[in-house]
Amino acid sequence: MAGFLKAFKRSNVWRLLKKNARFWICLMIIIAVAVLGIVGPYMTKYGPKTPTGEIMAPPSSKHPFGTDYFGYDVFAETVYGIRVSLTVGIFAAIIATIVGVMLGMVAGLRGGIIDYIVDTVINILLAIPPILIMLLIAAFMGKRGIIELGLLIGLLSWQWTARAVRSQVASLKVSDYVATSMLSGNSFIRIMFKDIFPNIASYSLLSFVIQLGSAMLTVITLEFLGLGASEWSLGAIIQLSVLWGAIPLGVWWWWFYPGIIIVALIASLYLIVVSLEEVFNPRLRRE
Amino acid sequence: MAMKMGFGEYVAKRIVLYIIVFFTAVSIAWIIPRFLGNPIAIIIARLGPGQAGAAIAASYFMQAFGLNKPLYEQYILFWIGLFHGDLGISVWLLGKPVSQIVFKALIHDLILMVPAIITSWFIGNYLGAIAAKYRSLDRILLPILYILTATPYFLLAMILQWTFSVQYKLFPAVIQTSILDRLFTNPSWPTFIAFIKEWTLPFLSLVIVSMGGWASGMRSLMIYELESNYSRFMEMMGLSSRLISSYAFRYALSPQITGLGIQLGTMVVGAIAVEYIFNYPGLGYFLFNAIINNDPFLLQGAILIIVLMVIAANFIVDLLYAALDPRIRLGVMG
Repeated sequence: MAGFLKAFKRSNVWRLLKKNARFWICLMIIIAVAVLGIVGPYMTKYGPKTPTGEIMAPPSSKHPFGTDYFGYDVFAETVYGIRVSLTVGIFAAIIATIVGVMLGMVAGLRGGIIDYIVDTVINILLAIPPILIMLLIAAFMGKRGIIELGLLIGLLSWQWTARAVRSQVASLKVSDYVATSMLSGNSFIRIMFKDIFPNIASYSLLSFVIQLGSAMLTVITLEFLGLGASEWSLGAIIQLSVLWGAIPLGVWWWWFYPGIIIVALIASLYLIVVSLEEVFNPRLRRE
Repeated sequence: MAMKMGFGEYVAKRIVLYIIVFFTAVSIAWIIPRFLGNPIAIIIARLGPGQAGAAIAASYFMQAFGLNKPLYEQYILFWIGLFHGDLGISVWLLGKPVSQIVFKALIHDLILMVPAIITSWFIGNYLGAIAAKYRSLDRILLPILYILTATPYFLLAMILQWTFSVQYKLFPAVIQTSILDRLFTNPSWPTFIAFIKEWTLPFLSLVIVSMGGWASGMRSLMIYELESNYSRFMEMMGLSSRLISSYAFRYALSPQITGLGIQLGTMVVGAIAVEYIFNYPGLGYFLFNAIINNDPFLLQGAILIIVLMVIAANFIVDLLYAALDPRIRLGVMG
């Protein structure tokens, strides 16, 4: 591991990454949001649904994000909300990336009927907006926990990853070294993991970050529609504020703080992908 | 795809795919409410009669909706009903036929979304291309564009409503359905202007967010083309940068055309919340109310219509793409 780190520090990737200010700013924001979700609940003496006695109090030192119509502390709601929303998003992104990479590799490498089926399913999922299917399933789902919601989003979002991996693998498949590996009688699994996977490993990582960004957006949207995993997720806080007229009442802090955290997190995830793409792909570097 | 494939063959292949998609979508809309939940139980819970009454009401609804028939028969009946425009009744709106609600909402949706998608497509692609071409502008534009795509539609809608109708009373905060109705029954200039004033904020919420998506996509595609070998070659031949970018732009535009149908899908979902916030009576508004009021048939019907709308849009875009792209039109390459 130490040897790997040394080699990485000498590499071109590190040299380029070091001077990419955008990358570091975005990484800081993502870490800050995650830290807020982890340690935030210990920083406040209120729970997400603990009445504080003050109703619709503007932000102050006592209540950094103010309090809402029911007298709950918005900071407490938000930090607990980050935990729920981020967990669902990460879980969904892991599933989508693993399923997408595996199906893309198998389809691209095997070809034939398996490839045809995977390709058709990808095309169907691209033509019907998957979030509508998620909405329909989520609305009728008996139990909507973190795991169920993560599975639902993950299992309907892998098509983007699979499509990109499939086309990359299909072009790798005809290369000489894969042909040699096949001729020397290596098993399908061995070729897949030893010969093909190292080539798409960096794409898989990028794909995970993209999936996380879009999964977060999906999670928040479902939560806003009242189909979230918990009643104090980030989207649910904002939904409640709309349902109770926070906008006409002028209680902007009720929805603005959770909202701005969502935007900062998702934008950072997207922008980190842009930075990483510039580092990995010389054609996008614009030097 | 094969190297040599005619235009007719391409279209035929797409038609087959869309028939499969249509069939899958309708089947999913039928399966999920039946196997995941129990619409009858939801309705009974809403009506809330005593124990004895509940059993009678349940058996009445079972018969009324044909839920006591074998599954394959229910499935066939659902298809027949669909072609007759029968999607069940809404519980939330006290027995109003779902098809009646959703068809009207569909028209309202088209008035809002078709201009939004076209406007955002043009502005977004233009901004993306400029960001790719001028590096100094890119430094400012890039973060802004990505922040816009990262914004949930509902949040921007709330910011706009808060700023422009609560802080500064420039636009009405919510739509009055009566004005929208009058626009169809008794159109006149004052009605039209009143409608436009109400329509502006929901329209802007949709345009601004999806503009960010188009622009950030266009930016990457355009940079890729500008750094490609043919652009380099044109540069070496001494052609003007204006000409080079116009070629790169045309190349980069083709994935953006295919993206139109997909983008419509995301926008429809974003519009659900936007329509609720502005009280705009489109499909999203009814969908949102169907969810919070536990209305199974309205939910199913609204989703089905949205899915069919998106599939139709995708199909139109596909044909448009085939007609525009000379490689497909002339059958040179797949």
